[in-house]
Amino acid sequence: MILTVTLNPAIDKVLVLNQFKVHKLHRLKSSELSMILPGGKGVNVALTLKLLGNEVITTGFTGGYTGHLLCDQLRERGITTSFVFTEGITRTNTSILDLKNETLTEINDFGKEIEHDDVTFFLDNYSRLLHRARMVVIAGSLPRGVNDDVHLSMIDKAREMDIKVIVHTSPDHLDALFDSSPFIIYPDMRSYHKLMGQPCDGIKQFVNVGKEILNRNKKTEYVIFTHRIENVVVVKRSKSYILRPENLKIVNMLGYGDAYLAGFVHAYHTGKPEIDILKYASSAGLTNVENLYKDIRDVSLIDKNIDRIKVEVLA
Amino acid sequence: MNQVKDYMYKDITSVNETTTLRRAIRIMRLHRIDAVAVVDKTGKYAGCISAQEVINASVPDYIKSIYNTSFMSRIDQITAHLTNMLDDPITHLINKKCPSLSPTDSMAYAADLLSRNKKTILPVVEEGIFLGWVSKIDILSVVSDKQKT
Repeated sequence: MILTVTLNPAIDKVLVLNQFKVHKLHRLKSSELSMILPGGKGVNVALTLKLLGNEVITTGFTGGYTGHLLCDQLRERGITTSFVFTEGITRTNTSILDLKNETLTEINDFGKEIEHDDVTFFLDNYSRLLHRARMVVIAGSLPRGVNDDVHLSMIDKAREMDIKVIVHTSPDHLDALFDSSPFIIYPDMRSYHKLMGQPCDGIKQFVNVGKEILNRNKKTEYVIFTHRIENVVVVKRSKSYILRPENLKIVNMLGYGDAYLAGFVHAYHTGKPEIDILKYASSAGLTNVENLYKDIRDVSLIDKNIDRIKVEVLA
Repeated sequence: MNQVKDYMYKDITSVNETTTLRRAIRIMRLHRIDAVAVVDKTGKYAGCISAQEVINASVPDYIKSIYNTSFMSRIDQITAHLTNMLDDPITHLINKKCPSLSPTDSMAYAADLLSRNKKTILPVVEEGIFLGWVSKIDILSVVSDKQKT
């Protein structure tokens, strides 16, 4: 079982319009799309992992009718749920994809405030779930009322049971993680160009900052930067990898980082050699951005796209 | 054959025996479910606590001895007793002998077990691991859901 944690999940309202204009009433046409989907980073990872044939448990905080909608949709797809329901409702994130102008407009709601008692119960429930997990994926933002140290508690509890943890979150929450040494640190750089107080964009800076993170986190094995899809950078102590997709045709970037992460976790558990794990992960990311939906609908395309991923190794 | 694993409600939020009654009731209320599974420190299923058991325990013993309690004009007499128990651990309310189903059991067996034990919901357990629930509604969906065969 793979346990994915989404502390601040969402219902994703995705609108695919022929053309989006402000100050205009849009009545959807049959050629356009309107989707209501379970969302939040850890949830997206869970959906793709399940589609790839893995058994998955999802946890985090949820609530209200949108919380039930989220959990029902996850269970319908065969995922086991164990969210802590709180008062208040799960947020809705809205994305508008404009096909003519090729723009993506996203409005992410802030989550409801979580009470301290619910955080305590979440960690208790998490400890019980760990007995069934072989890997933990913590992904996404923190809701209000939840401090960074919840990540530390989760990593420590997993380490006591010798379970590997991957953390995929924004630089805001990464400083608190330092010295906790999860298996993989995967910063979500979408709205950020700084990490550890220094500029972090482009291959050279990704490698330098990655090495610095590894120096401080003795048990961390990988630092991954996928933000620039044309140059995905994977930093290890001994070497770094740069993975580049060929003939990339971007249709929709929504869910790209989550698809990459799901691809990594899936390939890791199939026991592939490291280079093949990284190529598979990049291919999952590539496959995701080339389809219209926020998740991969046809996972067989990941295998077909693998040969389009070119690898450069930096000593 | 319709098997439990294809119809079970796969939510595995659980409590342990030191969890307070307040939390257990909150889970049942917010999850809209009639029972909560109890799991021990090693992750093994240890029983369950149901809304019916909480209600039974909330009735003071001296009232239980009277067959017909309809004379009680105010429900306050029950809730006052329950209020005093809210911050206590659920230890004494756990039904360790609650019958359970295995994922490979047939839904016909599940229907029979629910009916014989006068339950609305039963836990699904495999080798000591709690996997989810089967309720009376799930039994009805075997009949109504034509897509599952």
